[in-house]
Amino acid sequence: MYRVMLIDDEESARKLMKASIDWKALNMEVVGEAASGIEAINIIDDVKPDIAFVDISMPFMNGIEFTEIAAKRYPHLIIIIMTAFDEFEYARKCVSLPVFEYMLKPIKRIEVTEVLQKVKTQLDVNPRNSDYDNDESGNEPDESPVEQIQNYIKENYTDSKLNLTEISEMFGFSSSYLSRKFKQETGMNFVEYLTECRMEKAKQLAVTNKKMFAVANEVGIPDPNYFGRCFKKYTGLSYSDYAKSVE
Amino acid sequence: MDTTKGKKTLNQELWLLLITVLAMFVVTFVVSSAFISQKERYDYEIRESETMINGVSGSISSSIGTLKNLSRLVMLNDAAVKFLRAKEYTVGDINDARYGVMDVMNATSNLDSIFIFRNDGGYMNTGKGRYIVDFELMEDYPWRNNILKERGGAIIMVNAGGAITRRNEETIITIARAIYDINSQKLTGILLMNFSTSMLDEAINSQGDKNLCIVTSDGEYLSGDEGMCGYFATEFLTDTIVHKMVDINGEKVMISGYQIPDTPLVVMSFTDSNINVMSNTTMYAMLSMVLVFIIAMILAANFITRNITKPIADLTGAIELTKKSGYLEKLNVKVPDNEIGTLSDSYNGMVDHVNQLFGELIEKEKSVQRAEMDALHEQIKPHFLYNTLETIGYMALSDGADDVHEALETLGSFYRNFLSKGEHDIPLSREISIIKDYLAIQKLRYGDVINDEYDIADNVLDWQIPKLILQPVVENSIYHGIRLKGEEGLIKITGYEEDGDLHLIVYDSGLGMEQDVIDKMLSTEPKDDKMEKEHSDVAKHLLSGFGLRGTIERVRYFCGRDDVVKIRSEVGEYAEIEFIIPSRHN
Repeated sequence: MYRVMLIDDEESARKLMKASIDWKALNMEVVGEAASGIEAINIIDDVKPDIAFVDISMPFMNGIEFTEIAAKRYPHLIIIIMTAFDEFEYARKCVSLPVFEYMLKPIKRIEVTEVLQKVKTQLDVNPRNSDYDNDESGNEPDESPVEQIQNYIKENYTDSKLNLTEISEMFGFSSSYLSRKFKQETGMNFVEYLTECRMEKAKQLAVTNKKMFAVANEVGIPDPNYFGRCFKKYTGLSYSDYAKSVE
Repeated sequence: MDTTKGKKTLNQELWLLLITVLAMFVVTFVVSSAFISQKERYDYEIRESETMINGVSGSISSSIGTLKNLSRLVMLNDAAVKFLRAKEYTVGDINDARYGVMDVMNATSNLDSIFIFRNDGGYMNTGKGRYIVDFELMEDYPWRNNILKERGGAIIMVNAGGAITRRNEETIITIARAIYDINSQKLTGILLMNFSTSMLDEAINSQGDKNLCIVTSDGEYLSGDEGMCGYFATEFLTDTIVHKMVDINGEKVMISGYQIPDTPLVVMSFTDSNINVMSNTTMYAMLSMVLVFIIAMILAANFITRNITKPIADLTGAIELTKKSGYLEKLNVKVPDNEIGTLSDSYNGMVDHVNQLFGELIEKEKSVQRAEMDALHEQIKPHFLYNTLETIGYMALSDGADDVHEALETLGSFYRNFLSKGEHDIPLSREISIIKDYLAIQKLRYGDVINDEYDIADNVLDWQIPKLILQPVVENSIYHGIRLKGEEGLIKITGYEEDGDLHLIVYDSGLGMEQDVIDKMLSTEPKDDKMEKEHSDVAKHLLSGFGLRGTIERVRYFCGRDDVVKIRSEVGEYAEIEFIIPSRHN
């Protein structure tokens, strides 16, 4: 089964895509969704998609910016850009991007299926190394890098583009190794740790009566919707409730 | 040229002018040449007559002079002197004198007779005829005084003033002088020397002209043409030649007269009016002037035609041509490099300027339209529409209403193409997919009333055509064709290439169109205000599918020609609209 990730700020678009395409017939499944580029960067290492549908017009980090980052970090990822017609030419201009296909919205099942058929054929013919599971490189170092990485995260969590793959590359490990090692040593996975750092900082800032969007920006999650979800998940309270409760 | 019908062209006016001038010239020429010839004839006649008269009178004067000298010889003749000096004279004296005088007389042919009178009335004479002498007259004081007052000088008289006449009545001319004795200087007698008119005849003959006549100062005939002496007038009695015109048998004849000085002789001449006095040289000069003038005029006309009217006609033709072609094009006619050339250059400059203005205007118009379209798109907010469609689509899908989802998907696809902006031209394939979506939705509405067929050649699928030129036609086919007929109908889209042009045909088996409707649709006349108003509302424009007529105009504008749209129809059977898109757009 090929893993598909849908990145679109419109929930209905994601839902429709998920529901209307016969994924099974294509030997695919939708394994993750993200409502913004920011969220996608954050969760992509957990979702581990082979194929990503990316909407161009998204707030905070649009499809093009996301694609630029993702293409660099996940060279095997097949990216399909979804766009309304008025952005089509703009998207086309980014020809340097290794995009598999540009597609017009609103989607037409037959068109999407056709493109996915092509993707499937390509993946079937050229089974590629996954960007996420390349364990075999695993020359495991004697010294654990986790502490070092933790420090790095603490210092750099405000960078909204920070994620597991980036750090792995930076420190010269495979992401799966690092992910495993990280969990072993800290008891939590990478994303949880990164989020914890950000949320702790956010809790501090919430006390100062700062607006949520400003805090979200400051802690490296400039998408306030995603930030809000993360915050609620982490603290059990919405940002505004939390701010009130502390008062 | 149609535009010059009913008015004179410059060329025509030019020729008219030239012909008028020529006519005026000819008239002037004829009149003036007649006048000049008249004048010249007159001058010629005067010249001729003066020559003749002067010739005759000169001849006569010189003859008379000779005779006068001869008369001196007579006076000095010894025998004559002796006859005059003798107190008593004998017949022998008279005979001596006669013989002496005869010597003189014989020397001159024209001498008629010589009379020498003594103071006492005796006389001698010698002559060629018989004479009557009027002694009484000779005794009269006036007669004698007339001679004596000259103190020996000669006077000329006719018939010796009436004193001597020939018995045969031939007129004689007399040279009379008083004779004075050489020694005593006393008056001794009177000499009358007579000569005959044959001397005058000789003078006239010497001029070789019969139109001469010599008369006495009383108008009596002496010599020449006797018939002429009736025209004698006293005004001729001057020492200058006098000319007068006389009517003879309806012909103008010039009579000139002149009295030979110191004589009672008047010379008259008639000039022959029949001779052509107009000199050939003058005639040729004038004729060649006319010829030169005509040639000059033809050359001038030709010059003007070639350098002005022809280039102007060429220019006008070229301008007409560019007018018909619908574009303002620069002229490429060969015109002379003068003011006409400047005109052509100026026109081309103006064309540039106008085209530039057109361009600006069109740009402006386009930007306004684009702004309106942008505003419209903004109003419609495709994202909102698409997201809503997707949301409803998902709702339908999750409720198991697959057909609803399908309809929404088609609608979304239709609007995706229909509302796409930024492009005016799209590939034919996309226009076809718009039509397919459109008809799919319309079929949902009207069920199986509509059938559609497509016959598009593969090689034209990528041709660029103006966006949305087929959809309004199809819409028209449904609402004004098939729906009105009330039975199942076919819409067929055909596309193929022929001679490099793309032919797009929308056929429907609907109600068809009346010819006047077709004519109205194809009319290139500007739309009336009402229609214009309808179309100015962009939203209506778009939502009503631009309307068929608006579409036809757009296709014509796109192709830059009017003949790219054809409509064929049979009322009650079918209607067929064909667009022919020239290859230069692909």
